[in-house]
Amino acid sequence: MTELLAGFQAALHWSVLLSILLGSLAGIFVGVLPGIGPIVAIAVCLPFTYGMPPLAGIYCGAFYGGAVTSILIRTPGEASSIMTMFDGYPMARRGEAERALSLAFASAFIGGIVSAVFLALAAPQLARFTTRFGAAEFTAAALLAAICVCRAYSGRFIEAMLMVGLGLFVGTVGIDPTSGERRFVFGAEGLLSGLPLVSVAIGMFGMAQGFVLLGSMPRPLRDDSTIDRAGVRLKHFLEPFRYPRTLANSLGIGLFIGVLPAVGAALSTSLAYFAARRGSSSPETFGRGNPEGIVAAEAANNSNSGGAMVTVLTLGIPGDAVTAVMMGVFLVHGVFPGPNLFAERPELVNGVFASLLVINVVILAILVLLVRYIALLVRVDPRVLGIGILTLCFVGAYSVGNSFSDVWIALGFGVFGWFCAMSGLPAVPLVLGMVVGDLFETSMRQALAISDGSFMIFVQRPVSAVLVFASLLMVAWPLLRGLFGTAKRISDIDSMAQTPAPWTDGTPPDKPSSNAAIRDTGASR
Amino acid sequence: MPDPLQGQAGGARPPDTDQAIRGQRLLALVLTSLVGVGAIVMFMLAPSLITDYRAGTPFFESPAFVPRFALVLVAVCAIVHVVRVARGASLDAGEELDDEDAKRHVVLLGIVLFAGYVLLVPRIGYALSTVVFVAAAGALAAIGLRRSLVLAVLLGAAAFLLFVLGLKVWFPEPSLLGWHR
Repeated sequence: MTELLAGFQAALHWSVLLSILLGSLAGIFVGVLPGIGPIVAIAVCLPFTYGMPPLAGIYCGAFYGGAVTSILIRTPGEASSIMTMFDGYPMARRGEAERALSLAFASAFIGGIVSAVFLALAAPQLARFTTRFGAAEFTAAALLAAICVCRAYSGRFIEAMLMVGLGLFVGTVGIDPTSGERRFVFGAEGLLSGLPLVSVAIGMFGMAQGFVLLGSMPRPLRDDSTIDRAGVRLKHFLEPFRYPRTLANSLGIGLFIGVLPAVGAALSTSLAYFAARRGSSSPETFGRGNPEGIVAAEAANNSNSGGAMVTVLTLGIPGDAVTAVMMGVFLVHGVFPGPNLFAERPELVNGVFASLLVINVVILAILVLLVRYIALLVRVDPRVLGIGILTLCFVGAYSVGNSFSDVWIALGFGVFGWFCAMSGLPAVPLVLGMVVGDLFETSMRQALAISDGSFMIFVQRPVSAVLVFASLLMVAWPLLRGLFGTAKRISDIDSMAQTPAPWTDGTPPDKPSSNAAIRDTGASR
Repeated sequence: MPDPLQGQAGGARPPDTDQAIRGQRLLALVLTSLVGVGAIVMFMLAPSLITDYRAGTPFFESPAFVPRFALVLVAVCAIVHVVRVARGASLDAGEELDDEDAKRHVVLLGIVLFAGYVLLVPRIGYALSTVVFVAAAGALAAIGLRRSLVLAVLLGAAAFLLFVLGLKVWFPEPSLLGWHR
């Protein structure tokens, strides 16, 4: 408890509060501006932020900001704000924009606070558990994280796996930390310390997006009449508590999804929204301005952040792409996330807990006071935005090591990121592969050295065996689901064939082929 | 709304959509093939690209183990993806980069412009280079000459104040402006 209070004391220092304020403002702006997400802002600002609070401010602020445009102009600022749009925009159209915004911000605030409390309570417990992790367990956890990354890209598993592999390879460039050998440096002294994660992230996300925005024309807004009605009403701030079951379910879904590696907030908002609709006594009102829809989406959206930080702090495995880049802050300052962090740097960890609580209060205060003006950001010309982002990317990449070679690396990855986007190759797995790959290689080589090259070590240790089994299950699940689905359909066909039908003329029809039966039952692969 | 990349069953697509899809598919094939071939080449050259590589080292002690594993993964996935794309699998652009409306030639020229920016900074200094870059980028993006110049001066000044004076980011002395020394 005294450590937590010390964390609050650190978080309430004026310099930290100022950085939280600036980070939160940046995050809200990023959330409001369609076309750029928190990862772009964090990648670009990473070299200038000398601590976690401003980055966490950007991270959390973007979730809040995304709701503004979803509600006012039916344009989600972030992918995770899509569900908010379904009920927020109709509510705004019928003249209740202030109620919709108030509901969204209040639900997001509750989600953010619960998320921070969860982090403060769960992370130390999980850290105690993970202190018993050995090299085999960390290897299996890293493997599971990599597979989760790929599974998160439903329908693009091969593409995601390709990019994870590429990220894994890119992470090996430089001096091998175990043997000291130089790997794939091609004689370039600048590559001895490897390809910097920050430059790669700035290139893949920041520069690629900046170039694309440069080539974009301003899009006409579908309906900007609601922008002028942006505002909040404090009396609606208590309204989320009128839906306690929806609120509780959504918070739980957000926290759980946040903990899972690589699965982002967009999934948690979808699950929470549809769960609320299913449990509602009037599901037909969802999508037409039902306040429960907004409560479900925003509570789940903002409760994601704490769960994602749990895996970063306790295992050193990022919960999503944003936290993967944020881990760069730790690494740049020689801090290695993992179970030992809690024992070696308790003040740092408690500072993160306290900062998350303070950030949510600061963000809410900013929105209550300034939402009317923040909403005007949607009219910013994307080309101007692109130029600004590129300017920031230059100095961001340069200041990693005060070297122009880092800028060239970022530019190279920026071009690659743009080509990947056009080719349907996802960029996030490459960065996640770089981050997770380091842990994977180090742990695996340690584990195999202990077992003298035998892979049985990964199944002989119970926790590692469970994680390996989970990984295999995740890879094999689509195949198993297909097999089970086919078996069930065959069983359904057989039972249909055996059920006597009320033939009007006493003559049964021909037995249908299995394909026709599948079509008739509406089953699909 | 039907996905243009997947096509509409039973109906004709506009010719420019067809062309765009073909172009995208060709780019995907070329890029993935290059990545796959690169992975195979790097795999074969790994022993010579790792200093003091010893062939008899146990695999788990070898610095080539994980890189080669990664390269095999990349090569196999690249081959599978190339085959799938060649057979007509859809290319999902995803939500990571909103690329739909971007003019390709502007993006390409923007990349060249940025490369010029990187080359200019050590020669004429950060502030001046930023002004030149922003003005040129504004002209390229067709935001108007006056807007470009105003933006260039404002952004250049703001960037200099914030990063050089505020955050003390160090830049080398401009080589072309040192004539007076």
